[in-house]
Amino acid sequence: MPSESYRGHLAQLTAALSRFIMTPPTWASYRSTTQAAATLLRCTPADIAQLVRQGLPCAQSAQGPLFEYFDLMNVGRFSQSGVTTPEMVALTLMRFSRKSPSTWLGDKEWQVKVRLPGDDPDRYRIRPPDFEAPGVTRLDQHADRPGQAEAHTGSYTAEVRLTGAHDTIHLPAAREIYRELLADLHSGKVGYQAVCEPLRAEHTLAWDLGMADCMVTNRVFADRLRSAGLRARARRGFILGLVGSEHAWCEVHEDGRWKSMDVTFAARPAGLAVSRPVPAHDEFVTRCFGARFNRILPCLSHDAQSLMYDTTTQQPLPMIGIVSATERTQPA
Amino acid sequence: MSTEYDYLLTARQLLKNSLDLPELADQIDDHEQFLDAGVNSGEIIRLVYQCEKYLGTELEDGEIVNATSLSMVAAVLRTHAGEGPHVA
Repeated sequence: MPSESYRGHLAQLTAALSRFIMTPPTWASYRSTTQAAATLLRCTPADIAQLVRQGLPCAQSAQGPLFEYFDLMNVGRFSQSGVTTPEMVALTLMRFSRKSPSTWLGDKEWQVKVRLPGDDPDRYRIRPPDFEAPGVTRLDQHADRPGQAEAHTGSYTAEVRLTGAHDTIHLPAAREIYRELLADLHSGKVGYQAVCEPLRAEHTLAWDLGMADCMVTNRVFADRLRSAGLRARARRGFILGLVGSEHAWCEVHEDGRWKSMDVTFAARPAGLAVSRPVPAHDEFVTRCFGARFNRILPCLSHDAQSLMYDTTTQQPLPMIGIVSATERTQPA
Repeated sequence: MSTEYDYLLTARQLLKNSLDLPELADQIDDHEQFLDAGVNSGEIIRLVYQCEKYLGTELEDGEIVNATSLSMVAAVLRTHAGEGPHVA
């Protein structure tokens, strides 16, 4: 018989089903197996079957039921169990927000490893880091590593110095739009949740449906800034950590340079909207308007378009490889 | 007093607790990078939480990002020697 705590975990997963918007079938891609779902959510295949009975969408196949990966991500993130992989990754990555500004501003040197799925080395390609972006200094210059001119590359290692900084943004329209977005995310008018890659590309629709992740939010943000007559762009790259993740933010051009704004960090400084003991540092949220953090690596992606694509289907993909970064200690 | 071997033994046990297939932990060399050994991102992050549970304390950011191999995890355990519940 399952233990009380184990039944509690299933109850938490079940409760999560009503806390986010499932991927609309038109946009969904049901590819994750029951075993993959169980591994991600730290439960049993029987629990996954129970979640299906409670409303988790799936598609039947010869392999059994298949699930939309981003629905599973959301079940984990919204379960508030603290043990699912999506929660653990998000909560660990955002721990830095609790530290003093001196730890996320200033210089930090990283060795970054990006590993694409290894079944076929030519199948997947990824956009390389933007080594010419403000605050990014490339520390390695080896020929076998991604160059600035390359549109896409395979798995790679790069050594970089990221210089975090805070810039004052004076543009009233930028602040006003930033506040509007933040208010929508805080109020729940738009739910902050994982969004599948095809719907990220239709960011206005996703926002109107009430679902947004950092890619959707910052594309909407850039659109609104441009509509207000400002020069703006959404950026996409990685938030670095032992297990990193994709991230997006927005930049506005003022005083002859690009200045960063991270409205989704401001909305979810702890990584998840849960009442866990992970408050951000007092200054973190306010600094998100104008800050460039020393663990955010921008990539060569026009207006936060997909970093990865599948060469066999020519389809854009979310980051399905692994990005892992360690503090750089040895000279390149 | 724990030896280097003890810390590595504990690190390997914590890795076993974190892997989807625990027996694979015995095939990973002490200095082999987890990513090179095929440890996936979910397993790596669970190892971090296993270490914290074992030590009874939250690891510093610098400790987490450098916990890339069994020997590096053992070094973290050594740094925190004397702390925590210690039940692997």
